[in-house]
Amino acid sequence: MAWDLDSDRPIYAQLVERIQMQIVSGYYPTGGKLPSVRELASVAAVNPNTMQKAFAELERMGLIITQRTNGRTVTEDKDMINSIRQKLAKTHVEDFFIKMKELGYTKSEIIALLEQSDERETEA
Amino acid sequence: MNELIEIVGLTKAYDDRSVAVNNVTITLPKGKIIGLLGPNGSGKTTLIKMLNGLLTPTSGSIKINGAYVGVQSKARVAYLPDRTYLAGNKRINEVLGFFEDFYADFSREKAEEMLRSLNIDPTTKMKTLSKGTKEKVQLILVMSRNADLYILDEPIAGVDPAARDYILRTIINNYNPEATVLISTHLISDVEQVLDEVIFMRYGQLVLYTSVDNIREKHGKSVDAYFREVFAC
Amino acid sequence: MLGKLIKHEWKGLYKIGGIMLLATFAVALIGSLYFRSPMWVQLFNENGDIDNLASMTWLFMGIGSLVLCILMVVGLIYGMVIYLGVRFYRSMYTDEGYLAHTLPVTPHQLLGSKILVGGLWMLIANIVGMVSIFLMFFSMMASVFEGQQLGMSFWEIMREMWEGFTSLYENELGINVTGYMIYLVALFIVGSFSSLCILFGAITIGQLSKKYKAVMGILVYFGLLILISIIEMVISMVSMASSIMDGEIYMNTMFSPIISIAISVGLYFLSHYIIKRKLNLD
Repeated sequence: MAWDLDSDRPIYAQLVERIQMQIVSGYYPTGGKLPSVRELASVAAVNPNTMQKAFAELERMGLIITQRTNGRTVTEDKDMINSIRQKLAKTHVEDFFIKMKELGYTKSEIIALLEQSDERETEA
Repeated sequence: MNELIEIVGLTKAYDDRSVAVNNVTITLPKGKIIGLLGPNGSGKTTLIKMLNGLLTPTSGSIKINGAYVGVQSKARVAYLPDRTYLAGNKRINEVLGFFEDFYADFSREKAEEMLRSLNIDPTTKMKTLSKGTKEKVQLILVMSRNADLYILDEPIAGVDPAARDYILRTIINNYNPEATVLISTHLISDVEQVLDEVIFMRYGQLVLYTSVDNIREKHGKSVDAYFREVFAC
Repeated sequence: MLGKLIKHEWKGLYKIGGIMLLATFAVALIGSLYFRSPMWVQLFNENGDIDNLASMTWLFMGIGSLVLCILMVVGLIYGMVIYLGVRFYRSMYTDEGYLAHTLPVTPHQLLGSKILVGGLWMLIANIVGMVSIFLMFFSMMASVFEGQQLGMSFWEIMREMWEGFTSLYENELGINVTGYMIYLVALFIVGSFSSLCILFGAITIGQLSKKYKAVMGILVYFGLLILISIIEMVISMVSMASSIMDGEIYMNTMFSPIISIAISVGLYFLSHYIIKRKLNLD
């Protein structure tokens, strides 16, 4: 039930990443309402102060907006969400390439492997 | 005034050789969940006793929300000791009535609701409860109070993991920005997700008082790992 | 707060305390009924024999039940002291003390409530004890008198005895009996509460030692009782000596309650100080 978090990194940073993911993947839709600090802190089993810090950071990033009467909502700015999505995707790809290079794969070998995997995916 | 606890020059000496708490000065704010950590004999228990008025300091002072430790502060402090402090032959209902009588900030409805959610029958006698259930009942009593300071002494030791989760969740859900929760424990890794700040004590002295994120950012370690480093034998 | 402490203290005591009292009184009641039974009355009939086996049995049973009653009363009193002492120790100086001493009450309220309620129970126990013994005794004597067929009812006999008794004291010895009775009652009441101050005080003093706190408490209690006896003996010897010299009989029993009260009050404040400044629960 509780979120799986690393104790050797600041928790609020991990919460930011996680909520960011949830926004980008559409779990929290654009313009949609977010749970309160308390509720989410309880679900994640973290200190509400820490969750508050995460929300503040997300707000600073422009991903969420605090409205006086409506609580917190996801931004309507689809472009921003998309650019974050792309940034995250790029990071994953870079990490992937670094790992593959460590294994000694060349670029063409990587592409061939990718196509193979994709075929298997569509077959399944 | 954001200070909840002001401790100045606090010392408890039993005689020339045994000094349990040695000249501790620290100010703790409201609205934080703070871990009180340290090896056995570090003075944690003595400090907690003095905060609760169970022990008189040799010198120095403690103020809780501006008042020196006394009847006034006791009414605003909710203490969960690391032992069964309720009489065995009392039924849970009777204990609820007792708390209602003595603590103005006690909410019987809240307590009854928590008992219900755990399927604990309030007509049972304390002595027939299992150890884990007894601890949950004592925790519920403390958490049903709307106090300024909650002092929890080893709240999750000797309790199964599911109960631990329940206890930590209850602490989180009970959070109130005007109150502070002080948790004294050995089980740092189970609890650190929930802490804002930590106090390290050793040999009766204050070794460190800092925010949990500070430790993680500066040292790239969990509080548990950092603690082991600091207190390596 | 004091009222609430008293209420909860009472709640904690009345069940077992009540059972102890009822059991003792029940024995006395049964015994006294026995003594009013015709078999017993006949024993003292001038024409009756106390030689045959049946009469002997009734006689022994009668005396046996009187002895039993007295033993029960003694047991009641000692039992009450032990019960109150153990409860005090448990609620104040074991794990339960973590609750008692973090309640938003002053040490005066905490101690005071326990002494008030405990003292009251001690008093009730003493009264029930006395009433039980008198009940048995009077029933027995009433039957004896009726058996002797003195031609008067039990109450008439009692009245005569009482008047003879009081006139002896008032006329011969110049003592105001009613006043003295009131004095004895006051002594009784004060004694119940002061005995509790001594008990609780001793247990609290025992807390000062580092180890074996409970045992120390018991030792201090007996030590105090012995000390008080010695003081009272000395005082009575002194006043006897002085009365011999003056040739008058003093009511030296005036000093006894003063000593008890003084020691009780002293112990109360000592206990208060220990709780307030020297408390150290394990």
